[in-house]
Amino acid sequence: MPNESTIKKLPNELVTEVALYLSAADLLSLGSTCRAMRAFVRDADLWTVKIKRDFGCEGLEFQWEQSDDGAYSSRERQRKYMKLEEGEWMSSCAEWDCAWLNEGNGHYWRIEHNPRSPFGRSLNLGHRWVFWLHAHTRLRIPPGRYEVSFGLQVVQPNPMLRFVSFKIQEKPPVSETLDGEAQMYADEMIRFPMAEVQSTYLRALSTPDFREVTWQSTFLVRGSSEKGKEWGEVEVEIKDTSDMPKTGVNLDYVKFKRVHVDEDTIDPVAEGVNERPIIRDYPRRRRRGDRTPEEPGLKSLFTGFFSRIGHARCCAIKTVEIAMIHRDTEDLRTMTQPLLSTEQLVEIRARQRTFENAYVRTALGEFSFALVILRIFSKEFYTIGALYTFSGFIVLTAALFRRGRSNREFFGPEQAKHFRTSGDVVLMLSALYGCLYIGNAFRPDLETVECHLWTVSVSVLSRKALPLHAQNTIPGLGMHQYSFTYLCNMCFGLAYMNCRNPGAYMYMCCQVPSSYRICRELISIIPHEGVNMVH
Amino acid sequence: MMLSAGSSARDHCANERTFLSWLRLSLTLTLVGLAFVLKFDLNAIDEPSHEERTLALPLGYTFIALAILSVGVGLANYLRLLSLLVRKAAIVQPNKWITGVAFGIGTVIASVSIFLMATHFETGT
Repeated sequence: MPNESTIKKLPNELVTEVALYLSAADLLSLGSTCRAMRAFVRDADLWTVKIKRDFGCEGLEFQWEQSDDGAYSSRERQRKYMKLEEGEWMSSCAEWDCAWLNEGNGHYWRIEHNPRSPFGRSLNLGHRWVFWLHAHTRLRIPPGRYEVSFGLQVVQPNPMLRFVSFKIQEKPPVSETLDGEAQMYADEMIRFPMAEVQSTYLRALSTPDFREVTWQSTFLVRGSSEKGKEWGEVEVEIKDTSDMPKTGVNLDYVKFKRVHVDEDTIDPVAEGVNERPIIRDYPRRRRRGDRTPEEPGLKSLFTGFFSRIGHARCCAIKTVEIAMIHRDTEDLRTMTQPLLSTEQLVEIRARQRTFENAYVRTALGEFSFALVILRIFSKEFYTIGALYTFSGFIVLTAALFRRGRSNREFFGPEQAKHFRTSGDVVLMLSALYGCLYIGNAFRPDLETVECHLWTVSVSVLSRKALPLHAQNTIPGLGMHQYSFTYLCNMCFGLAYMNCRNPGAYMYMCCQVPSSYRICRELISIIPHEGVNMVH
Repeated sequence: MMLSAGSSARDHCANERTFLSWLRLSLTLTLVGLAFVLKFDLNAIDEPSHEERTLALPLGYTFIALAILSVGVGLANYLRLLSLLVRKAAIVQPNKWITGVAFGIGTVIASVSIFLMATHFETGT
């Protein structure tokens, strides 16, 4: 390729350095461009370094799914990075520390199976009366600014429900040298500011479905060190000890979603809690190995497949877009052909003319002829019609095979582009056709069989002999094919002569000028090649 | 109208030839189909048998339908490749549906001829 991609010329370390600045989606797009980049993106080390750089050491230990066993494979690392990049940390209320859980005669909070929850279980009150509500959890998340949402369900509108407070605060870093009482003291002293949400408007949730409720408060997690790479520990507390009954609320999860905002533009006064919460529909989350019951397995398989195809397409489009962004505006006008230069275009078109057009035309012609035989000739010729159709199939298959191989050759990563001559396919075709002819001789006419055999063997031999000259010179290739065809025709003529068929003599006479020409050109080539070999 | 650069003229001509080939196939298909429908027999020379007569009509209509299909497919293929060529796409090749139709037509012809062969050998012996 004259336009060898410049990214491959860069040293590997440099490419890695650049790749560390890309997002996961961009990296995947890069990986779908060519084989070398794919291998590069599939390196587990790359993703490990990326996780470590962006999310610190804790990112590597982070487990986001039950099945995630921290395996050191490229795919696992990549998924982990994407999960981290997504910036969503959820904590199921079913795993919280909860007072009065499942105590007594069931008049308290309990954990129930809930198919709509992303975790499958939720903290459920049902329709019972609970006065004391106190649940809390801690979770570690990377530093950043987060939007906090709660997954809630109001099963039964409760006019007395007006005050459930959610408290979010970040635990201060605890030095390991402190112990016992001193630690508690330190806790009290350097408490980070907390965000408190009061669910005054829970009554707004009148539908019995689960809803995701966001009080518009962004919460800043500072992390526990100056570098900002250590994760912070966040404490979430739901507490209400008032004597109002808090029936009819199901708690599902708390979600921290990273928001990207410019720190300078944040008004410190406006930060905090809105009066009215934002209520969203419950997120539909598909997890691996987790199927919603209304969806049959096969269908989900298909949708998964097609979404993957769509994703690949998006990647390709994105790659082109990236290429467009990185080019000058001058080039943008000619971006209709971003991939191939004119010479390459000419070459691939030449290939496609053969594999897409010539082969298909041959096959269609054979189909037509089979039809003609079917209709016009008498019954004895039906076999020949079938054979013609069959040969049409063979040609079509050969076209597909050759097309695939040619495309692999052309778009493949090899440094020097070799054109693979069609030797084996032509050989196969002639052999198959020979078999057909033999099968065609359904009358046990010995002479016919003999002549077909002879034809095939001579054509195969000629094919074998020909690569001796002009093996890899492209101008020689045309010669090559011509000589092959003429030799085949000559063989046919000779074969028919062998059958003492008067038509064969005429056929031979027609072939003589061309065979004369071909012999002359062959003779002219051989000394040339010989000279080359001497040098 | 477009700029003739590289091998574009040759490409377009090749594309056109392929279309003509599809047209030829469809013409032959129509011919055979009409012959089946009009004359109610499968073979022009030999005397038709009973089951051949009963089979001829649907077979003829099948062939005519296939002919229309093949013209349509040829045209679709031509237009598709034309637009791809104009856009200078890298991979210009018929998609799998068109290849599938080619294979399908071949299968129908092959099965019909094999069926005829079978009946021929039955009646012949």
